[in-house]
Parts: sequence; C-alpha cells; structure tokens
Amino acid sequence: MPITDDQIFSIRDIIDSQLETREKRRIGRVSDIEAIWQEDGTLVLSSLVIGPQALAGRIASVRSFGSCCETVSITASHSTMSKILGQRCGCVDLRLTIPWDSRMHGLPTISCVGFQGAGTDASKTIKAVHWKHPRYEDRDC
Amino acid sequence: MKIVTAEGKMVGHVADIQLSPGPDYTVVALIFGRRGWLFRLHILNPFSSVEKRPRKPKTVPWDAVDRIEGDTVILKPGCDDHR
Repeated sequence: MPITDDQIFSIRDIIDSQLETREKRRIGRVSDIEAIWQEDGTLVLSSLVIGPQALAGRIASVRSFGSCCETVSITASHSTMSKILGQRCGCVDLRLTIPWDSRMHGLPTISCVGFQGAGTDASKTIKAVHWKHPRYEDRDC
Repeated sequence: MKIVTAEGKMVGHVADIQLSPGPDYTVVALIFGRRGWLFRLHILNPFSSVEKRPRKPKTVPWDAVDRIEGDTVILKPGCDDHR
C-alpha cells in the first residue's frame, strides 16, 4: 500500500502549531523544536520552543530543527531538557521552552514555565498544554 | 542544510524531517529534494484522494547520517543509495 502524505509525520506537522493550556489559554505557536542527540545516535525531540526570538532563531541560530531545515546547523547534544532563557543584554527574552515528556503519551507538557521580563508569571496558571493541531485537536494531557 | 555523501557528493538540501509517530518522537529520516519541498508545502500530491500511486518525497534515513559539520549533513560511507 503506498504511503500518502498524511502517513508521513514530520516537522511540518508540529511547527507553527498553536499551543494552548488546558484552560484554553493560548500561549503561543511552536516556533522551533529542540532535540537531544543521544549516545546511541538517535535524535529525540526534547522541547517545543515558542516566542519571537525562537522564531528569529529559525533563520539565525543553531541547535534547532528550524535551523536545520532552513539555513544553519544543528549541534550535538543538549544537556538540559527544559530551560527558560532570561534577559540578555537588556533585551526582554520571551523565549519559552516546553519539555517534551514522552511518558505523557508523547504529548507536550509544561513542567516549568515563565515569561521573564514580560511582566507576567504564567507558571502558576499553566499546568499542562494540549497540542492543538488538526490531527491531534482533541488530545489532551 | 545540504546533505553530502562520505565522498563529498552532493545529495540535496534538507526540506523537512520525518519523525516516528510517537511516543518518543525520534527522527526517522531527512526529507530532501524538490519533492521534499513540495511535501513540506503540502502540495506534493494535491490530488492524493484520487491518485492511485501518490508520489513520495526522497528521504535519507537518520541511521545513514554520520555527522553534521557546519551547515552540512555528512552521510556514512556506503550510504549514498537513498530513496
């Protein structure tokens, strides 16, 4: 049986998807995706990255799938699964990474979130997200 | 990002990255070439519902990737027979 487009799951199905909390609060779109290059040679998705800097990073930075697909490069392993980048050089950093917890049935979850410099702290309100994508619209964490 | 064989022969440019369906979401293959870009834009098989043999994008299995240097994906020796 031939393989159709819909049967091939790829980055295009994740990137730019809307992320919502369980309370239907929209927290952004997937700008980029981080991965860990494991010792056995496999590359496993680790984080969803959102925010304007991450979006810009798809063109200008390294260490991400977006970069790999677009213009630049992907580096070897990441040491951390989740991290929130703070302010740098006086610029407000809105980048947020969401750890991809495969134990939760492969759905992205937030274990530690925050918007540093944005005047809000979402970590108390966002407990989980579900991945709003046409193919996975109703799946929840 | 371009893909080259171990001998330095150009294979193509990465257009998309194929993933396993979960729950681990590991990279399965690199999708490249003209069909790869059409696939990424969702226009590779615009009439897929009526096509008997939909076209597939060209892929290089992740197992065939040896290393990444700069903006180049270098394949393992002997891994130049990609689909």
